Amino acid sequence: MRGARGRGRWAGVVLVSLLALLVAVPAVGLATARGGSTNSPSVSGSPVATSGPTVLWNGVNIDSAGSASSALTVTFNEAVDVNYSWVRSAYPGVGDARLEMLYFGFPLSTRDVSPISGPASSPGLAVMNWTVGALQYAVEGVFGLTASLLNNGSTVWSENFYVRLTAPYSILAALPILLILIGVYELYGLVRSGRQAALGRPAATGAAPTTADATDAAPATPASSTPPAASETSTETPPPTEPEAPPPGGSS
Amino acid sequence: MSAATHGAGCGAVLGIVAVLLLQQFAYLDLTSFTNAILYLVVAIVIGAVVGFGIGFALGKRYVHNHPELANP
Repeated sequence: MRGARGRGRWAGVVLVSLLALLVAVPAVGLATARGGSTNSPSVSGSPVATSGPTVLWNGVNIDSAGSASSALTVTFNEAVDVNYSWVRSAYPGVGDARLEMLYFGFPLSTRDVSPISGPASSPGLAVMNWTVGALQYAVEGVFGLTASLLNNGSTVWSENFYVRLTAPYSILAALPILLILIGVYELYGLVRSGRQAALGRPAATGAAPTTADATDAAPATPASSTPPAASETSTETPPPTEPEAPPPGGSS
Repeated sequence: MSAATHGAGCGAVLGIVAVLLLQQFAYLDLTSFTNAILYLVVAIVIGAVVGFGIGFALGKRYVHNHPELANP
């Protein structure tokens, strides 16, 4: 009985892990189907003639990744060339090009580069070689990035876009593995939550269970040191005394 | 702690885990703070309610299967 229960427990854990993997694997195909893998160097983009600055992500304009469903894919250990270009006369005094990766609205990583100096008539240009860094061992998934140009610390232009970080085998990052383990543990706790009903309930046959693992314990039987039941000692024990009468005068 | 309360707690944690896992598997965008908090709150509420129901039902079944625990 106990062995069967243990096998069932492990079967449940393995089943949940397989389900998590099944959820993870289609995500790769989904991102590809969404057109996320458009950061191939063979796609040589050129700055679009727009009024605002242009940012190229491995040659692809970040305008094409304005939503999470069209995120640009960043593979494990990949270094990305990010090129900022703008018209100096439209954005004078730009001294910093910044790339921020956001999570819950807070920057997870920030990279800054200084623009290449040149005459005022030439277009502004900043080149950044961006990598995820140590974060690639911790997280994966879709993240929002903000590319911005700063002038003395104040943002003069910014644009949001999305990238999708991939981990080896789509799963080998610290956070998803930790989350799967927590999920399996909590799922196991949820399945066994019925045992909590044993807590605080006095058993009809004797001692109350003190732990939630009531079924694993031996059946509750009166211990040898337990005093005999009242029905057995009723002939020897004196009758109970009458309860004391309340003091006269009642409550004041 | 009753079975229903325990189930609600487990369900709430599972809701948080589900939201974070969906982001890790590229099904959810947690870039914006307000959206992320909204997702988390909705997931916690749904998880807690569902977990409460599951815990309640499992607790009933456990007591039914273990009549020695029933109150005399």
